[in-house]
This record gives sequence, structure tokens and C-alpha cells, in this order.
Amino acid sequence: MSDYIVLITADNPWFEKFNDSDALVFDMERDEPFEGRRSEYHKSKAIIDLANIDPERKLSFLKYLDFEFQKPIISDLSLYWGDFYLEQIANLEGAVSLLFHSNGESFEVYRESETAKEAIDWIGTVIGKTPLEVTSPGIGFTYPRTLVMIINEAFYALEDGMSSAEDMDRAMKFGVNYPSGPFEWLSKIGPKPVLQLLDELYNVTGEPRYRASRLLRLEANQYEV
Amino acid sequence: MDLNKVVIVGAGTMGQGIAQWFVQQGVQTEIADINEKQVRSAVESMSKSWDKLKEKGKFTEKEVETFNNNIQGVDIIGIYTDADLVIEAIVENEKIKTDLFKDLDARMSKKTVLATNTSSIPVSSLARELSEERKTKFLGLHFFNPAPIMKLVEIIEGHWTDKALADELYRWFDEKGKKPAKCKDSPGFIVNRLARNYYGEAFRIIGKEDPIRIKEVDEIMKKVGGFRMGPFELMDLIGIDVNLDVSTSVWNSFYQEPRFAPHRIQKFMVESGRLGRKTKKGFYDYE
Repeated sequence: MSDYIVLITADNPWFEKFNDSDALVFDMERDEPFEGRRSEYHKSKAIIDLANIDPERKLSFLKYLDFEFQKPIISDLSLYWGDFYLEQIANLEGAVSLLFHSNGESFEVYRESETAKEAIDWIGTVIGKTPLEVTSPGIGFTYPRTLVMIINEAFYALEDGMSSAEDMDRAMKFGVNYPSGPFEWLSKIGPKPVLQLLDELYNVTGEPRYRASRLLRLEANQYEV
Repeated sequence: MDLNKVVIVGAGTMGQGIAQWFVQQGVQTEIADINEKQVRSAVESMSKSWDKLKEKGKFTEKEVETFNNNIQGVDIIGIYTDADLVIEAIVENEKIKTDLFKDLDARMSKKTVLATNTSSIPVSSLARELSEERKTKFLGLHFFNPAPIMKLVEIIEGHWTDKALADELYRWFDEKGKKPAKCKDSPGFIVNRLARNYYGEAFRIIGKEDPIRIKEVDEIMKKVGGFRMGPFELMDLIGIDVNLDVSTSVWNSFYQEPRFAPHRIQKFMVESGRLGRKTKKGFYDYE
């Protein structure tokens, strides 16, 4: 048994891998992760939070973990203003970005302590990728942030009737050697995280360049009729 | 659709690459330019390239012989007037291109399809002064460098383009092993529009010129994203000035839509003469 507690939501692309790992894993939607579990948290080396929830809940959730257990926390901050969270949460010692499907061998990580490094190395062994250390997580790290902007533009182009999703995928792969087309990425990531990160970028920066396409918003089913 | 005779106007890098690709498909091809020397040089260069490919076993001696017989360098006045398709790949200047197409419209057979390889001028603007009949046979065929290797060809439908013609060309290119992608006549077409944020967002992520962060972003996009090149090293390769020009052109064409806004770092790089590999200084040092 590893010394880590993993809190995860089922929409995390690595959900199965972590469930099969030797850590104590709680499905945030199915399990009761805290009631009667206090001693397990205290025995753990670090808490790994991989829950994909809206930004306000995420911050409250991290504050709760921070206050309740006083243990090093490593959190997936793919969809959030990581720099701000790191400043706010005393025991948040590391951040990772696992939510966005990629064709690369590495994943982005940020760490402030040796404990965080060990936990991140362990995450790497679970998902079979190498940690790539970055100077700061910024807002949504680098790869997710770039990707959502490419996907959002593809949605705007679709809205304009400029081309089809298939032709746009084909153009980006065979014209500029992208590893996937924007809609192929979307099919692997899902529209919700794409929209969530765009909204976070828009809310934090106030810049209109991050306005999500209406079509993307519809696709993400944000508005239910 | 049958394309038996094709004329490429413009013997620069793109024109030469496009001509080479057509010849390799068994199409009788003429390459023309106002600069005769450039035409001769393009034909020689194609011939050398086929010799090299023959040595590598990609083509047989017989194939190369056919290729050499199927390419002809000609003066612009002497082009086949009964060609099935003429592709223009000359300087990106609307006036010069418009004049060329007006001339071709008058001289070419009624069946000839006229196409532009422009990356930035609206296809419909170039068609505007053509005869009504020719307007339906006018479209954009945007190839990517190096054209014999890069598979994409963007097929751009202008305002008057016959949809059936665009579909036929789509199928023809597809059968010949290209990867066609059809799009409307819109700024940047597909690639130059969708790729803008690969560069634009990289600038917003670093915020200011910072060699450590520049290298970091490039590493992330390669090792995490699986891209062949990071945004900064790619800009150095393309030319930071060229990239800024494309960004500015798309931004202005969309009435300064913030999603396409160039960044002050780009402008500063150009102002200080750091244009990338070609000046040996860009986001990286090549001395």
C-alpha cells in the first residue's frame, strides 16, 4: 500500500489507473471520503486531489483539506488559476495537469517540496508518463491553455460555417503537423473541461479573447432547456 | 474530373513545389514566370530533386524520364491556352494577381479553371473583375510548403465558385494522395486562422520576454502536447516578422477581434531586428 490518499472524480481520464493503484482512492461522487477516515488521512504522506469541480468549490474543498488534515496536498489544477490557489492554501505543495488528453510522454507539474516531488513521481508511475517541471502553473498550465484556445477557435469557425469539423481536423494535421485535429482532441477531452478553462481564463483576466464560442457552450450542455 | 494539363504561374519556392507535385501525378505541367532565369532554375531544381529521389529508390529511371518530359518551363506568353487548370503562385499583391487573372481570363480556354495559391488575399476579391462564366471556375487552392511533401491542400470556395467544381477537385486531390480540406473564403482560411493561438497564447503565457519561460513553453508543447516544434522555435523558423504579418492581417480582417490580437513582444522582436533563424537571432540565439 502506498502512503497516498487520492480523491478523484470519475470524469478524470486516469480514473481507472488510480483505482488500480496501491493508494487509498476515493471516488468523490460515490464514496464517503472523510467520515470515519480521519486516522487514514493522518497516516498518509500526502493527499492527492484529482477532483474536477467548479472553481469556487475547488477552492473551498482545498481549504477544507488544508485546515482539516494539515498534510501536504498535491492537486490537479488543469482548470484553475493555480498561482492563486498555491498562494491561498498553505499545504498545497504541488500541482499537476492530468485532465487534458495528450500524445506526449510527459505531464506538467509544479512542486514546492520534496514530499510533493515524491508524490508527483508516484503519479507518473501510475499514469506511465514523466513529470515535466514548470516554473509556475499560471492559469491552467501551458498545454491545456493553448489547446482550449485552438479548440475554441475551431468552434468559432464552425459557427461561421467556414469549414467542417472533419476538414478542420484534417487541415491542422496535414498542413501544420498537429498531433491531432481540434475536434479529435475535443472528443477525447470532452467539451466541459474546455469550456471550464476558457471561463476561468476569462474570469481571471477579464480579457474578451477568452470568450467561449456559443456552440462550444451548447456542446458542453451548460444550458439545459 | 480529368486534369491532364496544368499551368503553374510563379516559379518561386511554392510554384516549383506545386509544379513538382503535379508532374509526379502524371500531369503534363508548365511552369511560367516573368523571370525566365527563375523558370530555368525551377526546372533544373525539380530535375535534380527527382535524380536524388531516384537514387533513394523512391522513383525508377523510367518514372524520372517521364517526369522530365512532363515539365516545361515557359514564358508566361507561351503557356497552354487549353490547360485544364492554372494555379497562380506569384507575389502576394492583390493588384498584380488581379491583372494576371484578367489576362488569363481573356486568353485561356473557356473550360480552364483558374486558382490562386494566396494565403491572405480574399479569393472573391481576385475573382471580382473576371467574366461571369470564369467567376464560377475560380477558386483558391492553397498548398503548404514543401508542396511535394505536405499533404494538405485547402480548397477555398469564393463567392461565385461552382460548388460541384470544388467537390470534384476535392475528390481528385483525395484520389491523388493529397489531404484536401474545403473551406469558405474567410481570413486565414483554416490553418492560418486556427493556428494563430498556438503562437498568440504562448505570448500571453510568458507575459514578457524571458528565455527560461520561452524554452519551457516549447518543451511543454513538444513533450506534453506531442507537437513537433514549440511555438517560439517555430516562429524563429518561419520568421518572426512573417508571423507578425500573418497575425496582423488576420486580426485586421476580423476587425481587430481580440482572439487574433498580435502581442507587443512580437512587435518588439521585429523592431529590434530579431527575426529568427534568418537573422541568427530570435527567441533563440543561432550564432
